[in-house]
Amino acid sequence: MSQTMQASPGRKSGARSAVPKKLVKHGYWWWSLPALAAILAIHYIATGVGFMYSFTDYEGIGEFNWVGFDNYAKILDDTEVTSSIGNTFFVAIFSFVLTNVIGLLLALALNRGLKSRYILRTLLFLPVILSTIAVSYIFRFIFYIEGPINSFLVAIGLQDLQRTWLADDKWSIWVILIVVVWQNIGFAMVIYLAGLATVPQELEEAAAIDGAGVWRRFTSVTVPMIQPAIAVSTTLSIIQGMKIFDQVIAMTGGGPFGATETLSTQIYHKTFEYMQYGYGSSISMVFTVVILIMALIQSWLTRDRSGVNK
Amino acid sequence: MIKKRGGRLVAAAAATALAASSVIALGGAANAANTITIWGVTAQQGKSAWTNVVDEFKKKYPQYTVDYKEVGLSGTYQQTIVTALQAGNAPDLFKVAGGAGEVDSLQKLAKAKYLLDLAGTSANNFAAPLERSNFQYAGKTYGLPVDKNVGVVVANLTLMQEDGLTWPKTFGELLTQCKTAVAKGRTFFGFAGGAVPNQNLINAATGGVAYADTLKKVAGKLDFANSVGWRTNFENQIAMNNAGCFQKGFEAGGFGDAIDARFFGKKSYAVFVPGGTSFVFRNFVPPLKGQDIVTAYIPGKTAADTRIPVSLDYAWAANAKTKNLAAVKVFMNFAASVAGQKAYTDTSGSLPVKTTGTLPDNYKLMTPFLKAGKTYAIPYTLFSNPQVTARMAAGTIGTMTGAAGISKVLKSMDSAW
Repeated sequence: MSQTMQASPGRKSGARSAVPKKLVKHGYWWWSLPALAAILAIHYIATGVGFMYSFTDYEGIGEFNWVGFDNYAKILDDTEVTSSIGNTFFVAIFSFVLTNVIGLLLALALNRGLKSRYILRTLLFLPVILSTIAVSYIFRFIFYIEGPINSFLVAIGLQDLQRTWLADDKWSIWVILIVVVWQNIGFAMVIYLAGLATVPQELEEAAAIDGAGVWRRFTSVTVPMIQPAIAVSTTLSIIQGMKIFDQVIAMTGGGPFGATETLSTQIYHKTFEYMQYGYGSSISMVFTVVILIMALIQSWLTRDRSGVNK
Repeated sequence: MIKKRGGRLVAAAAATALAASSVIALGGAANAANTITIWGVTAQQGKSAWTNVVDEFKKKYPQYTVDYKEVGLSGTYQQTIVTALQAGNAPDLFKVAGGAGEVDSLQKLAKAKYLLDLAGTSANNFAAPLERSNFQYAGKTYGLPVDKNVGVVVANLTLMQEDGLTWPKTFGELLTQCKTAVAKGRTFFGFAGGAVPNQNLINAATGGVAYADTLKKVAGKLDFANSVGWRTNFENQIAMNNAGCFQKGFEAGGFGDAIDARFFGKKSYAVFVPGGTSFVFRNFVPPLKGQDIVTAYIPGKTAADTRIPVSLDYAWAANAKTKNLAAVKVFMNFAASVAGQKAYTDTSGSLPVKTTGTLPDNYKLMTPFLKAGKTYAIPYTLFSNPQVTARMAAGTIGTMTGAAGISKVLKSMDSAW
């Protein structure tokens, strides 16, 4: 099949000359200039200006002074920021692991065979399209002191476990993690389903005939073939986990006493609530670099190794 | 030929347009001096007090054309006005917050040279000497305070009476009554502990003990970490929590829970809201009509120790780049007049800056303290920046839930200062 699609060099060049130039030319490079200009203005110039402000004491209004690396040095002494780094990595790593493991398991379960798989896929994907803020407020109600979780605990005789979940300095971060994982599982599942669709059933059947068990087929056939899907899903989930903001602001505001602050919420508080634009910009720059490093490491770990043996 | 004719048509059209625009421009110039643009804040409930002042101004000065806009609720308003000032398209007159602790604070905007010096208007030194510093920067006046806010607690005395209670005279009595309220199936306070504004208000209510130490902090003579007053403030809040003064789950509670469900639902005797709200509650909230809704306070250790919070918070300010200086001055003079202050306070329920005569019935608990001068300025309005206020607010819930100790909170306030 693939052979029939490949034209010989001679034929290729003949085909090119036979087709009028106007019919094959679909566009010009300069058509992309407006989009490039928009990206440059919205992303890169804005980031560049932010980088410049990170060396100033700008308060968001009026004049500013250059302060060199003072803002960057201050980050290390700021316990609010340093503790928020721990929370950020906690949410990012746990949501990365849980979202991908559960998403992959669901994708495997709903890939073939099950009659109700299409409706189940839709139901599991639904949380992804809901507004994060709306979902957070619903979960805020669920974990409220008189909400369904505490009512359920009472109903099964575990009233001692009742607590004000979102104001508990030990549990509130776990509640946020639950919400993040719940909402993102469907997205990971869809990516893995797309990857699984590329795994030929014949290949799995051949492996089964050769005596490979379920686990062996999964590790030796399925995983290598869905490697691109794994790379995409894990990269997106780690970045999403690192950037967590909406859920924290809507559910706890970063409290109690900073127990759920993340780097994103810290940047928001410092920049827009405390009017420390210069300092907030410096945290943003550090955060950008951290995400970049995390994404690069993760991409390297999940890189396509199929070419290694060639 | 066609080209020539087309050229003539274009020239004729351009000349007509030029003439028309000149007429429009002349007409505009004639009206410009009498036209002022004003921005106010949208009210949470009912008519905005800012709007009412503008309406009254228009009635009294019909020769002025006012282009007025309610920009949005407080948070939206703050970001919008700051952006407009930076962009150069801010109105002639607008609302600001006194001091330096908020996004649209007067001293920040004056420092950035966005505000008009109000010398030569009635706004100059309008507030009493002890209250005017928040409306000045570098010795000049930049804002006209719109009202005086007395108290940050509103109580339902009728409901308390049903349970055989009257407003407590000492802090010890308050704690005892909190336990009584629990026994009656209510709580003394409905507290939106999950909402930062309510965390601030409880500190305004209990912060009388910290006022003197805050003044020392401002003068650079004391740290929060060594402040007995601030330690007592947080200890009192913990004592209130331990006595059951707040509803279960208050730590994550919102305004809907504290006010709508508990206060309007008569499950709590009192809530932390600006004192003027008692006027709104008793007149405009159906479940509370006919009830004795009053502005109240947190009592001191003894009755003699009790002080009540009084603050001037918001102000009218003018754009430094206004081209309608004469009209701006007329508006400022009106806003400072008895009629102008009344226009604001009639809607907000707060008191005029220069309060005279008998206070409304909803202030009956506060009157003796006002007459005796037993008042204090809300401590956090004296803070150097919003981050100190945020740490104080977080500290309230942090210390009550055990997420942070008082010493840790006080140190964090020092580092934010």
